[in-house]
Amino acid sequence: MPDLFTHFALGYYISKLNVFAGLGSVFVLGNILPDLFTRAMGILFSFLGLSSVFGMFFLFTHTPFGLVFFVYLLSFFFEEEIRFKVFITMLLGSFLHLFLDTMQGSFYYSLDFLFFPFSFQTFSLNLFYYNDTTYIAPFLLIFFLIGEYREYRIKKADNAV
Amino acid sequence: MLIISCMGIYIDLEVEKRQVTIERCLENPDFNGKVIEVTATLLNKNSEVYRANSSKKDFNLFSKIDLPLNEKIKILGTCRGKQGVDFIKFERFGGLRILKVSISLLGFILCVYVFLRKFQIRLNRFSIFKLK
Repeated sequence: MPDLFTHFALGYYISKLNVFAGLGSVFVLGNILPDLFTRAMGILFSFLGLSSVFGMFFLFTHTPFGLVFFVYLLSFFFEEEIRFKVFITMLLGSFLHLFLDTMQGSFYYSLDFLFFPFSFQTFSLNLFYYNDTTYIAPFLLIFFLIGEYREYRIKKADNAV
Repeated sequence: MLIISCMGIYIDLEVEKRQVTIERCLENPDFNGKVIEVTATLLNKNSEVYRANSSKKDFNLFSKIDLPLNEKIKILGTCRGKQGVDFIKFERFGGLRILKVSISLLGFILCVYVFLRKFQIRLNRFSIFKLK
């Protein structure tokens, strides 16, 4: 899996599209959500000696099927009026996360069970390796800062009017 | 902060996993008792071939591969059995681990920042997040 910043940055750029109607930040959150919970739970389970349980948790947060349930549960933490939109937006964000993971090559075997529970066949495009995203991180950061500056300018102009 | 700490430790575990993977390569029944070869291509250097006896779990192999490891060198290699089957690819970075932890942390912090810009937190309600 690429690092969290790469996931965040890609989600951030796409969240700037108008289709998200103010819920772009939910899309960004959905983008890092699978790794955030998998990593935290991975450490917790390994300390408890429950690695097999962690495997099930991984299927819960890193498969399209599992993510539907996971994101559905999380959407209840949002207001009822926007809950459905949050669910769809966050789900799209987390699917983008899986898509980026799928592009990465694996050392031993791929863990992208895209067709779970219908098949345990894994799928990987092998376009880059784990550490390769480190090289593009500075460029992603520059684009992020430009985006933020543009937003700041627009907000400032709006306030002036 | 707990999650952030967990992320850092997890990245360390990722490296551990790779070492375990190479061990599994040696322990694989297909290679049992055979001499296997690991071809390692160092950045800016020529390819080097290391040989290890799988039945003896020749861990010297790892120390040989680890020797040139420092913050600037990357090893990308293939482990081959006698049948010539590609079995494993691995790569190791030395001091980049701290950098990777920092980059991941940055991603996490920026995500929280972008999220909290749009949402406010209400801890007294079950629907915690409310649009600002």
